[in-house]
Parts: sequence; structure tokens; C-alpha cells
Amino acid sequence: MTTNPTITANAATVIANMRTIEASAFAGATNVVPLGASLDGAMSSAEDLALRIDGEFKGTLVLAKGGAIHIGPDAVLDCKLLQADIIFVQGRVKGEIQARKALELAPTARVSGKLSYEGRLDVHSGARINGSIDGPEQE
Amino acid sequence: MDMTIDPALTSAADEHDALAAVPSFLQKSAALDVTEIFGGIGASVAQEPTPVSTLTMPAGHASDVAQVVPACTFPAGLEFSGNATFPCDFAVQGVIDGKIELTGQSKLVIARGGKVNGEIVSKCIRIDGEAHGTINAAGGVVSFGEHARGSGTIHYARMAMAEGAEVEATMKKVA
Repeated sequence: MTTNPTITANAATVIANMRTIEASAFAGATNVVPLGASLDGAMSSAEDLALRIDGEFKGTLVLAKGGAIHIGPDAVLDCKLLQADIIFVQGRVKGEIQARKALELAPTARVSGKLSYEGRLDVHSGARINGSIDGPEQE
Repeated sequence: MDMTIDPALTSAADEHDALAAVPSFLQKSAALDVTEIFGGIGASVAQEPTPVSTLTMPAGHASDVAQVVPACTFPAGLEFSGNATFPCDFAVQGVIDGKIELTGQSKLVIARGGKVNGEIVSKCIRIDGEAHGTINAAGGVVSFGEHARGSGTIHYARMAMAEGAEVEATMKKVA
């Protein structure tokens, strides 16, 4: 079996890093923005999809119902709005993030803007946040 | 018989175990990056023969071609409007409005159910869904499956069209 050492290392890092979000949330995830790709515009879905972003994305990304978004370590996002049930960030995100269930920021995450979440927030040591955080007000 | 285990073998076994523990979404990205590496090292050597040979197969093999789904996929149910550039093979099962450009010899597949309105630029385009607007495969291959719908302007060097495809377009051969 041929394995890419970089990928194996990345995969191991991802598994070690995801402690709040279960890996099953990203089962069957599709990579819509691979490394080296750049998208500029509005992406949306009313279906429960699991997406992975490794490249550059600018604009809005809204998964209105359910949905899981994984921002890879090399991804760079400039978002008016990034919305889904579950969001796992390893890369750079600028703008507004709304997670309806869980938001997890890995040590490599660099986030600036407005963060809001319902449910759980997990910020790993090393992650950087610049901006505001709105959590759930009720117990 | 010598029972000592070669260190290279143990590390290979470790890698195998590590990969088995990796969730499926990560394995997909692993597959993707391998293609990226090939694209980086020798795009013309490693990648060109594959798409061309699959796309110029007889019509009877059209369904086989449709099953070749690149590692990077725009899933059904997802919509995008805007501009997109990809360095790798890309499959569209959802709906895209705007411009999609694939660099190098990357192959674009619009799967059945997928729809693109706007402009698509790639050296190798396979359409089983719908494409309206400008289809620019100047110097490359355009292939329509039997369920394909197309309209607008098509620039191509080589063309394949299955029986049943509905295409109303201005076609221009650009070598």
C-alpha cells in the first residue's frame, strides 16, 4: 500500500484534534474546495451535507438544515457568513461563523470576526480568536 | 528461517493500521492529494492519457465513464453561484451558476442530475447532466452522455455525443 506521509500525518492530527465533534459527523464528507482551488460566491444547501474545504473560499456558505463543515489546516476563508450545525476549524477564517450545534477550533485555527454557537464550543490550546463570541443564553 | 522483521515492513504495517483507523472522509482527501502530487510532478505524463482514453471509448461504455467520479465532488443538493477555479478533477452533482475553470489537464464531469449555468473551462469535459452557456474545451475533448442537455456555445477540438443527448449550441472547433 502506498501512503502519502504528509496525508497520514494530517489525518492523525485531525483525529487527535477532534475531541468534541465525533468523526462520524464527517463520514461521507465531500471535498468541495480542494487545496489549490479558489471559489468566490455563495454556496448553499437545504440538505444535511458534510463538506470539507482545503482551499480558498470567499463569500457565504450556508447549510440551512443540518450540515457539517470541516475547514482544513491550509484553508483560507473570507466569509460573510459560514453556517452549519457542526463546524470544525483548522485553518483561517475571517468573518461570521454560526454553528447551530457544535463549534470546535483546532490548535491551528485562526479565526477573526463574529462567532456564534448553540450547543457546544471547544477551543483548543493554540487556537487564536479575534472578535466576539455569542453562546447560548439558556441552560 | 530468519524471524527478524525488517523495520521497513513494520513501518509499512503501522501505516496500514493508521490508514484503516482514518475516517472515510479523510481517506478521500488522501486520494485527492495523490492526484495533486501527480498533477504537480508530471501532469502531461501521468494524467493526460487517462481522461482522453476514457472519453473516447465507444458509446456502449458511456455508463462506465459516468461511474468514474473524481475525488473532489460537488454533491447533489448543494448550490453555488460565483466563480470557481480548480487545480484537480472535479465532479458536479449539484447546481452551479457562474464560471468554473479547471487548470492543466484536469477533467470536469457534470454527473446526471448536475447542472451548470454559465461558463465552464476545461481541457476535458464530460457531460451527463445539464450545461447551459459557454462550454470551453478549446484544444480538448467534450463528451455528451445519452442523458446530457446542453445549450449555448461550445469550443472543442474533439467531440463525442451519445444518442439521446440534446444539444443546441453554436460549435466551434478550436485546436
